[in-house]
Amino acid sequence: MSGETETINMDTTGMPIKVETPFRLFVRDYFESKTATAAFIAMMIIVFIAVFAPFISPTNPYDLAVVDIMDSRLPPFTESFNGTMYWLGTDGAGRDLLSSIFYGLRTSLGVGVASGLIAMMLGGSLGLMAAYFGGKIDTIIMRIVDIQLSFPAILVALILLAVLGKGVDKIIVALVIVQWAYYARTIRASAMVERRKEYVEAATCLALSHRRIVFKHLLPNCLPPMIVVVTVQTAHAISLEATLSFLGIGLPITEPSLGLLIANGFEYMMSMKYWISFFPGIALLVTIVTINMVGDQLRDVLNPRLQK
Amino acid sequence: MSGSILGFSLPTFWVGLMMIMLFAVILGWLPSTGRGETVPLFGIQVSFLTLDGLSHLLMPAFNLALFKMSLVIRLSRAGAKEVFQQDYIKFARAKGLSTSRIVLVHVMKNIMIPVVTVLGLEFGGLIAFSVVTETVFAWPGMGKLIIDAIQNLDRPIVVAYLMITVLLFVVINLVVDILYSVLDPRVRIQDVKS
Repeated sequence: MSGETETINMDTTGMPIKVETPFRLFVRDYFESKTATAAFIAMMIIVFIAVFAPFISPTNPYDLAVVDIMDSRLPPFTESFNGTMYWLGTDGAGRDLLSSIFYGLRTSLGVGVASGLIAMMLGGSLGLMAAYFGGKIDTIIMRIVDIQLSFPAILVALILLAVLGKGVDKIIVALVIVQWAYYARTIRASAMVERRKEYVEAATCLALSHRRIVFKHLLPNCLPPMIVVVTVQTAHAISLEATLSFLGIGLPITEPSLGLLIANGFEYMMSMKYWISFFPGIALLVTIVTINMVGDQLRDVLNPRLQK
Repeated sequence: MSGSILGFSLPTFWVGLMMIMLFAVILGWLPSTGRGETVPLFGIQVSFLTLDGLSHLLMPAFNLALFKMSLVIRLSRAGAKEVFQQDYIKFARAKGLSTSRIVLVHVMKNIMIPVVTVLGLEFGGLIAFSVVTETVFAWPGMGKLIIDAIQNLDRPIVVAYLMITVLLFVVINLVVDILYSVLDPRVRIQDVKS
């Protein structure tokens, strides 16, 4: 196997260059599984749709000049009077469901990724601090984490949003508060192991600053479990945000996420108009499944205990 | 495994809606919402002793169970993957034990501790925090109580609810701790020594 890769990876002088970098090894391990490759491609497509939603969606569902109330509650694959094709039907206000899903995906993914990244930075640095300094700082931070984790996510988010009110910024705050403890706990566990290794001792002997040791030496070696937590927690954040929006305390009606679209269809459920909540739900499901599958494969690849 | 990812990822409220759609609206087999007929049991009205009440129970119960099912699948898979690499499994194989005995006795016993811990905690959550399912199915339980209380700013109810929840979790944790020593004799031996 190595012979084959070396012949491909020759540089111009004919000298073989080193191929087995950790990153290449990781990429090869990851794409070994067909399902994981498919999940990765699907995730890329979803991200593409979310980023370029205004350019690829057939209509702008929130442009009141385009939306026609005559088109409301049309079933999938119907054509409106002015010739627009509604592939997935329309909702109660006559908005094209496909376009609404694209825009909703944008909001859902945005909220999920933003809260995931902020929570990672906050929880990650607190966890690293706890592991590196130990002693009292460790005790204080980890007790706060324990308290935080003993409350269920949905309850904390409910009460926070009841106090803070609606809004994108507020839901991100609530999701960060719910999630940071997971990151802190994960990174602390791996940093505790790394801290006792010789290279950290060597760095300490070189009299490097605490900040340099923590971020340049400790952090890169604690990243693998962190990456897994990021994917899983992002999927969790998207799901939680949809749930909160469904309960009517998440995002405002002006910035509809997939959860709100599903909630909109609730009232049409009993009259067999299934598509209004069915399709946004499928979109939400596919998004969460692909992220979870990618995270699952990452966990298998990055777990040193399961190395072949 | 992919099935468990699906169960893990399915948004609870959406599954609830789709179940109402399929079984209540299209097929008409099960009632969509509510608790159904009740009978008194020791002076308390309960619904799970009547046929009508049970039919009301079916969909919310399955909806709540879906997530826990996939959780248990994942936990036991992760545990079993590690246990299968252990020497005593090889030894059991070498001894010529049947696969079912190895899986059901040797592996099962060793992966039960995390499963029981998580299930215990999740059981408390099922009683206290199933806000979403109870909202979708209009089930008059504790989750519906708390969200109604939050929306009505009914603080005494919220406080009382939190107290009951704490008590519930303390009791469940105690039961789980007792179960540990039943499941794993090593836990008991260590406790005696210390």
